[in-house]
Amino acid sequence: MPNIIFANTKGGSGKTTAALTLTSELLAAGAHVALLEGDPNRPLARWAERRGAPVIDGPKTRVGSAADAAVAIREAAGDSKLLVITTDNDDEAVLDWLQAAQGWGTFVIADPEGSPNQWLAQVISQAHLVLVPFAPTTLDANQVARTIRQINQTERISSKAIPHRIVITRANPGAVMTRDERDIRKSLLENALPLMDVSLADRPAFRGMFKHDALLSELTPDQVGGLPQARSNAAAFAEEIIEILRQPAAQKAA
Amino acid sequence: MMTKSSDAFGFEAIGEERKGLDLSDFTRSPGAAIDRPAAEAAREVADAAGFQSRGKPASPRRAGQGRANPPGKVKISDLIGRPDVPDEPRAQLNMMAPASLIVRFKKIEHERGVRAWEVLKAALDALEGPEQ
Repeated sequence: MPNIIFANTKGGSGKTTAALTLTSELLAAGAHVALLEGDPNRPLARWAERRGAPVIDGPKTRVGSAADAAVAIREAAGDSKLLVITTDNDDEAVLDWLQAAQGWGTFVIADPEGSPNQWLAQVISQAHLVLVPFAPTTLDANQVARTIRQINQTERISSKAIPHRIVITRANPGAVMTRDERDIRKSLLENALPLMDVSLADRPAFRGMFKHDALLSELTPDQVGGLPQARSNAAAFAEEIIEILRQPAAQKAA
Repeated sequence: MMTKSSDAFGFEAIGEERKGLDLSDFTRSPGAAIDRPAAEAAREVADAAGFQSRGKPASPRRAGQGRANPPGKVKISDLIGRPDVPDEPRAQLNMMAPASLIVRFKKIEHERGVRAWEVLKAALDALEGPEQ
């Protein structure tokens, strides 16, 4: 029941794609996954609905406690291994949904809106792992720094460690890194910022999950190109995350 | 275990047999209770950093469009220069300050159970005290 949040105060950093890629790998490995969606555009809810997977509309369901949320989750989820809970516009109830989702899923994956908002701050404070997606452009660097500052200050005031990693997203799928990416990686490492070894490359197969309402494991070569490379990349990404969650810091946060 | 690769994209794993993700350490269990002090700390930090509550988004304002003062509130600029400023109506002060200072401010407010303006008043009284 670890909860993992993909956090960046800027939109377009690849949060939702990274969240769905991880979800896809976890489901393929047999886990129950609850997706907690904070983006009012609801891309994950729409994706799940098109697949016929259960979706809870949080604002309409209006729970008053984590116990209420747990009942709603049990009723909605049934036998499904995937559940999406949308909580847009409600940074008060999100903690009730989070607690209840942790009681249902093997993993909870949170995908906030790409803006500096309280929903994101609240879920970060409870996370077993915060992943900060970083599309490697200098434009995104400031917002990554802002997100890391929020994590660090919350850690300081609450006297609680919040394990976190930066993950490079939308990386060049070729074997050679762009100069921007190389410089940014170097800068992150020089400043002792925690960076995941595995980057998520910009691959059609990742976008194809949304286009074809599919998991990565369900896509076929006639639907998208570069499927073996995308699957290999996603597997390495998920394996590194699982390895981080096994480390003492994440265990302590749990 | 993690597939180690010398490049960051996992190319080395291409062609390897997929062993599958080992999730044996992770099971479904009753969810842990929410850490409310951590949530409160996060809210204070986020407030100080200008993070918005998504439940109460700032209302959009078109360029050049003034905003009427809500009942009981007045602009500071309307009061500066007046010989005696009444306690009522209320005025609003927004300011950017170093995060560490805001954290100290919120900590005092929280620990003493006073409102923000009372902390500000105590600080100003302390500063002005010797001159009076």
